[in-house]
Amino acid sequence: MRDLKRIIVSGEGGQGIQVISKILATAAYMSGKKMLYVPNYGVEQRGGASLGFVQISNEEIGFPKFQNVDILVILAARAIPRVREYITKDTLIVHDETLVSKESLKDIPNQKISVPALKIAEEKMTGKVMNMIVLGFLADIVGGISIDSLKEAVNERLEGKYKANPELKHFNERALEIGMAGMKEALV
Amino acid sequence: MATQTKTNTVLMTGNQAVVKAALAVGADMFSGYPITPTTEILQEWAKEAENNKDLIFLQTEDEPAAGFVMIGGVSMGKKAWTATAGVGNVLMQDPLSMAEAMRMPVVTYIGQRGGPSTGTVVYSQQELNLTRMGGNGEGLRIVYAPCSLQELYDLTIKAFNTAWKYRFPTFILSDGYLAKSYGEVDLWDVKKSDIVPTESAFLNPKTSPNNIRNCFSQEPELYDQLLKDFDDFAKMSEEVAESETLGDKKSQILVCAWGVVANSAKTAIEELQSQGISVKLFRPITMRPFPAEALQKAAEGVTDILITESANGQFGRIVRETLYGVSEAEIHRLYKPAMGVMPEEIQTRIKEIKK
Repeated sequence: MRDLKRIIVSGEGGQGIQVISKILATAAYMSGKKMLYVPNYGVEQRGGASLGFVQISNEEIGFPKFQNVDILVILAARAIPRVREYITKDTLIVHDETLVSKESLKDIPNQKISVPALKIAEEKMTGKVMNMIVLGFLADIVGGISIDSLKEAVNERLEGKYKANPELKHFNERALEIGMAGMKEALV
Repeated sequence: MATQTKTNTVLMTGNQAVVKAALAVGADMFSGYPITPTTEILQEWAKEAENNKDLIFLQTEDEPAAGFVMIGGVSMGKKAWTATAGVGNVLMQDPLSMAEAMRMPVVTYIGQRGGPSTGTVVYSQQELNLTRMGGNGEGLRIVYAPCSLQELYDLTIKAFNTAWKYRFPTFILSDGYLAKSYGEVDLWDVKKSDIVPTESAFLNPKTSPNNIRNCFSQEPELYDQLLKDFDDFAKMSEEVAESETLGDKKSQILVCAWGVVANSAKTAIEELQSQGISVKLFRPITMRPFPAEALQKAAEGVTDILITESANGQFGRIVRETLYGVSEAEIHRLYKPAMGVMPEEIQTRIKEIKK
């Protein structure tokens, strides 16, 4: 039986949308799954909507893109018009209320989870790690991705930055843990 | 040709896999001009060349120059190649046509993007006609069409060997989705004995001094040269034409697809199979020479054929021409020029055909 999860991470340039998409795929691979990731790309170099398409499965994945999304992460309101076409009645929508208001999603009747990632990041660490909290949370929803794989995939990607800023490693790992624990700890 | 030895699975993009394959099969010269979605080929090769003085890298002023530099390299026995896309592929046709005339085993990687003109920088299967038959000639070319990241690696290795064995310009016809995808690739080692050696067209003591021509003063001279080339092309075709037929061999419904769309069709027919609907898939691996006999065989006993591609019938025309007078199956079309074809869409169309 094919167990396939189709995920779109969407937002705007500068939020690290492609970074977390690629790390999610890498961590899934490290946890023993099959995966394929493809970014959207266009002629614009900065700003504009950014979408990462990730597929995670127990079997080989064929086409890099897909029509129907299972888990849709929206981190900027400007991405909403670009992702509508992928939503089905079964799509689970994950957003951050500080970045994408409930109001802006009110005409989408789907199940939604609002994660206060930016708020937690700013209060507990730095706003920069918002995307790592989202990544941890997303990995938990997808399932079968270990925290160690996530940390390893993040380390691999950000090794260079960590040398210049060792504190960032600590923050990122903490952010991943908070995200993966469903932010329960941070919310109390 | 090349056999698989040690395995070494790594995560990378399609463009990176192509560069790794070129290195594995001994390519030592690259000339090019950047264009999305193949720019990373130049970047990756430049990085490799920085650390290895045996590798030549030249970024030229435009695509024609890159192509002519590549021909220069190949004529002196360098395993030279280039990469381009879209309008770059259009501009590249002048040197590629010269390479056909002079039987230069140049290797060109194409990452198809939307057209006409600048179109999109993203994806299509619209460069099929151009890559197979471009230039003012008869398409004396070999065109491989990978459908996955792994095949980008495998078929790039094969393309260099085929080019140097048969001395026709050879292409790896990919697309923006594959080029930019990130996933696992087994970078298996190519055995030295499996690599077809290069030879300088001008410095070969057996044939030197050698006059390789792309210009003839009399019609019969060119005509005789072409007949000889057609003969070589026909002999090569018997050995090189390649395809696969998947799914239920007895099914009366045949899907025809190529490149990454064939991978989408594979997913679709597997899904349909699990729902009790049997379908088969024909997929050419070489787009030129086209595996015509294999397609005719796959179409035997078939009542319905669904042709699907990310172009408006460029592949469909080849399929219909190949089956003309051979198959009476009804032809259905799922053409989505410059758009992806998702497995779900193929499934829906097949269910409609079944009704």
